[in-house]
Amino acid sequence: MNSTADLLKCEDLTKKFGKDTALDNISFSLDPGHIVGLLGPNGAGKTTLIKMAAGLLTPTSGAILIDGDAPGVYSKGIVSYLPERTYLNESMTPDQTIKFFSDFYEDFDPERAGEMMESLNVNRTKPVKNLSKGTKEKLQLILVMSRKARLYLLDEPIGGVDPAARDYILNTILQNYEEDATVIISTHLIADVEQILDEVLFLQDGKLILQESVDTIREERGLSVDETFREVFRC
Amino acid sequence: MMYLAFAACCLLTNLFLGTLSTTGSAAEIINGILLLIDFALFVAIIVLTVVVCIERFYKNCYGPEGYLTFTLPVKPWQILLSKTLSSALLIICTLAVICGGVLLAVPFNTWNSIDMSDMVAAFEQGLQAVGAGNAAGLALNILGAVARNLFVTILAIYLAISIGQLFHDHKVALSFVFFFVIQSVIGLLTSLLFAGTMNMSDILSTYQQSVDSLDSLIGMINTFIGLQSLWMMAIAAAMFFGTDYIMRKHLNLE
Repeated sequence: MNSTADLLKCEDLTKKFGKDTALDNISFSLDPGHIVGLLGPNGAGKTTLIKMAAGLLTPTSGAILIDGDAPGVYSKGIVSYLPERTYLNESMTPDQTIKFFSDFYEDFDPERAGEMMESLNVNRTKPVKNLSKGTKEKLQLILVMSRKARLYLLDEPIGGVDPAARDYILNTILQNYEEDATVIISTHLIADVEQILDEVLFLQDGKLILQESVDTIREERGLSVDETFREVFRC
Repeated sequence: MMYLAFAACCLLTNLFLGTLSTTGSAAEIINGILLLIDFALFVAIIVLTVVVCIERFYKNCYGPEGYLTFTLPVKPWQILLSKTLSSALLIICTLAVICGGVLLAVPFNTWNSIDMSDMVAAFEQGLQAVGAGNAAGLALNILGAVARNLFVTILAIYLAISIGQLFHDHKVALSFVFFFVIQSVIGLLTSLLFAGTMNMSDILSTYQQSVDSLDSLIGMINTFIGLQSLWMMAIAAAMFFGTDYIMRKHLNLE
């Protein structure tokens, strides 16, 4: 573990895809122990930022640091990443995915994963390809939240599940993340996650336009995060 | 499944060739059909093996599963090595199944008619003529040449796929293009490098003209294969580290 206080730090971070600029010279840092909402309209650069923190994309310029290190073996050992798509081997069963995660991640808790699968009625012996889309998303969230990671990157964790399951998932996130860990949640469903957020990052056209604590937004603006979002991104 | 189908068809060929082959045109037609199916399955197994190797690498590394593969706390070269070894193992299994199938297709009564003691004696005679050391060296060299070609081909495919994913569009099509480019470059460089030294026809003509010792011939062949092996190992290493570099520095999972 590095001694730096910033768990995630971006310095003049830019990412271009051909002529398109997905992230434009953004800089910010996040301390440990917060739940952060990464919010913005479609194409704002939320997923790109999360992928860069996970080490799946490399910056065009600038730097992204996880606990003081560029994404690599160390950062991947402390970052738990939930993509917006299914990334599991479809021929594996949920039980096999638990074994797989246990083999690779030292901080993975197989018992916790098993308990959550029972609670969410995930069939543990069916291949992933035979599970419904919603169940696959629950399974991935269970695997990701069963790690005792220091940084959780959750890209649209509640986008594909029914409203009843959303509450369970948000409770799962709240109950399972370590107190000194930071959770970054990217979502469009602001009203659903607002209750659990400590801080928000607003992205628009690849630029960071707001980084503020939820309490400050409420006290100084007299608005909820959802209302602030609607105001900032009014069409 | 394809392995089992191939084995079953080879066994059927064995039974028909062994029992019905000499009686009537219908049996000959059946034999012909079976041999045709054997050949079709033989080609299908090879094609399928190559497709599986490509598909597994692409899906695991640059497809949806890449999101998991590249967030595992391991170094890219370890991922690449595991993929290379698993592909090599799959190809070796396929070759073993093909060899087994061919042997299985030979009728049992043909095996019975072969005098194994004659074969063993011929083998021993050959071994004495060549010398045990030379024979072992040659066998190892040939085995090494097969292995190096196997790894060079796998790594060329992986490098081509990795270069293809650097582009924003047409990643798969560009991967195919780069595979042929890589193969052409390897072929060109190999020709240039070995044109000034020697090739297999030079060795044989030298042997026919002036060398009457089998030792010399085998020594020259070993030297030739050894030099080519070193060159191919250098190419394999370059492609391995090239792919590793792309995975480390230019990963582009959009």
